[in-house]
Amino acid sequence: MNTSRKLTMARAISEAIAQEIERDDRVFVMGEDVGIYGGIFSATAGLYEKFGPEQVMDTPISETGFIGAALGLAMEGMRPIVELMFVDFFGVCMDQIYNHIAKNIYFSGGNVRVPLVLMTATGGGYNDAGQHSQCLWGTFAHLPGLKVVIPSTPFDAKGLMISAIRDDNPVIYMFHKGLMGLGWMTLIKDTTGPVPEEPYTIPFGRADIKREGNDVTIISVSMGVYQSLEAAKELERAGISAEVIDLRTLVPLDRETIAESVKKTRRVLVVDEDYLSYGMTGEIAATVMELAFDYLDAPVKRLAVPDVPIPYSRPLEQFVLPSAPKIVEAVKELLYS
Amino acid sequence: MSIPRPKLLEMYRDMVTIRLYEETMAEAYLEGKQPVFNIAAGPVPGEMHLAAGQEPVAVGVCAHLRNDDAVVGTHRPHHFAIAKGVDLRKMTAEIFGKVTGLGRGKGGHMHLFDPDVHFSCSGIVGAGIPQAVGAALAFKKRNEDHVAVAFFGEGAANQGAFHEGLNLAALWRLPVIFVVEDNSYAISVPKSASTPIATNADRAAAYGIPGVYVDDNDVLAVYETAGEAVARARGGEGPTLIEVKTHRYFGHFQGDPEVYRPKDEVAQLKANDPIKRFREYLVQSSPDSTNPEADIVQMETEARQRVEDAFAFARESDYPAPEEALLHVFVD
Amino acid sequence: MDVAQDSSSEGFVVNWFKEEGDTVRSGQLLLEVQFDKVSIEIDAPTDGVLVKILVPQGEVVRPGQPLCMIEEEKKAGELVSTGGASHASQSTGGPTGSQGEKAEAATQGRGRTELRSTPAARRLARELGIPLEEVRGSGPGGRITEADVRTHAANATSSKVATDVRRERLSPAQRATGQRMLESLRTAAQYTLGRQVNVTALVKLREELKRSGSPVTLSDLYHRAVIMALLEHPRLQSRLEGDEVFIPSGVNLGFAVARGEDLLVPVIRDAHKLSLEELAAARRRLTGAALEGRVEREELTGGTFTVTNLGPYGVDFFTPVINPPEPAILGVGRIVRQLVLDEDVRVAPFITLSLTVDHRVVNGAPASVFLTRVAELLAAPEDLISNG
Repeated sequence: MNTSRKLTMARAISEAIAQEIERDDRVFVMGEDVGIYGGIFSATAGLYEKFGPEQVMDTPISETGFIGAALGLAMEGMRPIVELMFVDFFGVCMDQIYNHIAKNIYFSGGNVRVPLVLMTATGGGYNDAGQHSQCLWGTFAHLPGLKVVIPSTPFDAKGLMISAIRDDNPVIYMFHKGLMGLGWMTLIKDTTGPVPEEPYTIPFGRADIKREGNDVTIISVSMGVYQSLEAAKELERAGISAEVIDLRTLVPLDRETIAESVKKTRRVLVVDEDYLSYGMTGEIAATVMELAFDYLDAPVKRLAVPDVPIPYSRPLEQFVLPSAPKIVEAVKELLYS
Repeated sequence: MSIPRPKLLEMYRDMVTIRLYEETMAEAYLEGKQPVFNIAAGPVPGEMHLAAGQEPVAVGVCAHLRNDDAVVGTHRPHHFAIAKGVDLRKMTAEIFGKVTGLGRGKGGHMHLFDPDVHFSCSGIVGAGIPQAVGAALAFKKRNEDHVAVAFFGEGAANQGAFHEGLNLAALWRLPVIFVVEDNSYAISVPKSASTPIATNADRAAAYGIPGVYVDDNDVLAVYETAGEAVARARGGEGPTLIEVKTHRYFGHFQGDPEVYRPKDEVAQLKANDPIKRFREYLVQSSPDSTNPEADIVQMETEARQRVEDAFAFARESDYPAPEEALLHVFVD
Repeated sequence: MDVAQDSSSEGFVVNWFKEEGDTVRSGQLLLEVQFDKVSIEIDAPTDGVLVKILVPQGEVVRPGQPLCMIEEEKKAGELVSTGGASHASQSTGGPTGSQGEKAEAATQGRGRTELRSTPAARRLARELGIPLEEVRGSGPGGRITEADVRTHAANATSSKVATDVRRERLSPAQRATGQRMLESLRTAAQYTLGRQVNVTALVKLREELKRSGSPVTLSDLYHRAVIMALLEHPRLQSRLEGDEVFIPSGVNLGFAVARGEDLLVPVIRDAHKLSLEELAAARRRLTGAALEGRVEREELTGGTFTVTNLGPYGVDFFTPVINPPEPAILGVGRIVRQLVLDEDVRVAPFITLSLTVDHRVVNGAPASVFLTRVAELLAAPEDLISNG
């Protein structure tokens, strides 16, 4: 594949959707402001101009209505991609998501298919306070019946989106606002990345080792992967070789790659922008106990949002969110150095 | 309105099937629950919501539907399922928790899915409404003349999902029919204590769509009204809201002490039973003056046979292997 | 005898002066326990019969550990233990039988230390057949890590390769010395100055004294020179506490004595008040006591400066380690004959002085002045005998 071309994550996602709409006329997008506006976070930029209002449908602010409708569409053979702006808003239509979208396949004994993608924005760090800054992937990964996809690079974003659209199961596709490459967000270095023009898929349940190392394994998703890579560079200067694993999907979870890495490094730090308790970090820690207990040379360490809502004021928010310096510090504690 | 007799007989057969089914189910449900009632005991455990008395709504609407039309039912779904043509053996096996059931025993009586006839339902009040809207949107997108029907109770008409569903359907002029079964009680709360207007049909005006109130629990009245709505939908004229005054003979669920309604209310309702009325109509309108009940009895026999066959199938079927619990979270 | 000071360290039973079944009287010598460099004599706390010795001769004891059981006549048994501040017995009621059980239980409870180790360390230890008890943990709270097991295994392997290796437990004295020296190097900013001294006159003086029957040795002359220099430069024997120094006017001079593998530093108190002969006598008495293990604990503490002489062992120059809380130590090397290029060429005896100083207290220049003063006194030793 030609990988000389660089795209932002937003462009990579909209390109994936465009290619799938062209490939399969059952595929279309609906949601709030996905049309002319191109999605609040540009995930559907350019699609309306290309395909028109039938394939790129704006919806009223009526999440129970259109998310429930997406389920009806999927069960009747369509393959909708539904954007619900912020994951924080899922509460208003939670019943459709966790009681219906997630369960109908099971209730039917596998007799119905629910090929829908629920696309949403996650993450904070830009002072949007507690109803617009959450990640919540742990919540949705906890509920059986939803695949949970969290890309951290433009390349992964495109491949994972195409896989999500082609999946016959409901997929929650969670991008991070800070990684979309939006000019009005604090730009993260390297958020543009090589993206092949042709369509390609990335299988779910395969973590990606974004950086190899020997002394410690840092496991994360989304923005946490960037911060971990930054921290790994810093740690390298201190003579510590950190392996960075990007889980990419929480459901299904690549437990094998986690275990194999721990068997190599003996020490694990899990970094999560989601809440600490009962979440991803706990699940990874338990996985390590179950699959690699005898290889652990230190207790699993976790770095996540302490159990508070995301605060507004800059010093408060920065205090609770993970960051590269916090990761460096945590790794050093983990290595007793 | 002239309905061919075979169609009438078919509707009569479905109503009788529903009635027999619900009464048979009520008996099966009590097995293992006497003398001490334990909701988890017996061949049919869990909650059980029966629809005897509400046959006219399901049958009067579904008589207009084709196999490809979609129906979304409620927590009280048997009458809709039977009227829509759901496989009765598989449905009964599902309710008995058997591996031969629609969902291999994973859903039970509130979660019946039969994709062959586009039937689904949900145990959450009002939740099916937007899903029917979605099905209708799928038909419209594909330029098919199928329709979707959302059945729900008068209690569900106070849910946000109802208003959101109506708004979207009206906005996009979708081929969907919203059918409210007004059986007077949201579990125990009477309609007067939950709804500020006399009929939910009036709420259609807020969305600029037709709203019709059928004041009689009569299958032919429902059939007539639904016929217009289905025709409008198939013709691309958008959704209709219908509310039907109907009656439930059993409690909200089996075991309901029914302290909220007069003891003799059901007996009085049964005096004007819709099946009895429909049978009288069929006898009176029979072309065979010497033996006007012949084709009617044949329908009743068929209905009885179907129900007996379905229950026998369910009882004889095997339970799923316990480990099957781990399967079917996702499809491959 | 201050037992509390040593209450954290281990000792061993040197001798029991009574056997099981013997009658003992209150105040009678019961046993002797060696802690670090000092031995403690423990008397019977009560009249009775020594029914059970719990820690036999040669076994390790820890402060507070029951040592024996004495059954009092008509009264309940007594447990004798190495106490904290006092080595008094612990009186516990009940019949003899249950006393024994209690004593055993107490000993066991103390012996079972919680061994913390990581799963990876345990797995590796299992694979390599290494008992974790033998591995020293470097993690938080002494947790044994995989690296600790690996290190241990590597050491074990190398000692296996070497033939005929004997395993020996460090003596309490050696452990105490080692710990004090490690502590010294960890906490003080130590540097060492060296200086050669022509000791032609000093050697001549020593020979004259010897001929006249004086017991004064070269060591005593070194001590004398140091004492005199310290009186002039007392900062070299000051004690640092926080950001204050405490400068004594008199001198308590310590000198190193080797007893087998052990190192002891007896202290000559008020050394500045002693004549050269008295100084020699004190040195002789303390050396003898140290070599025979009779030196009292208070004779091993309170020094303000230490002299260590490795000359007899053939050493020229070395870097002595300060004996805290003293700020400096003087090392003396052997006498070597060197060519001197004066008006004429001749051969003369020289020694090398090695002065280690704590930079936190004394900087290089004043330390050099002190060292030069010692050298002057040794080079022209008339003053060493002139007064005092």
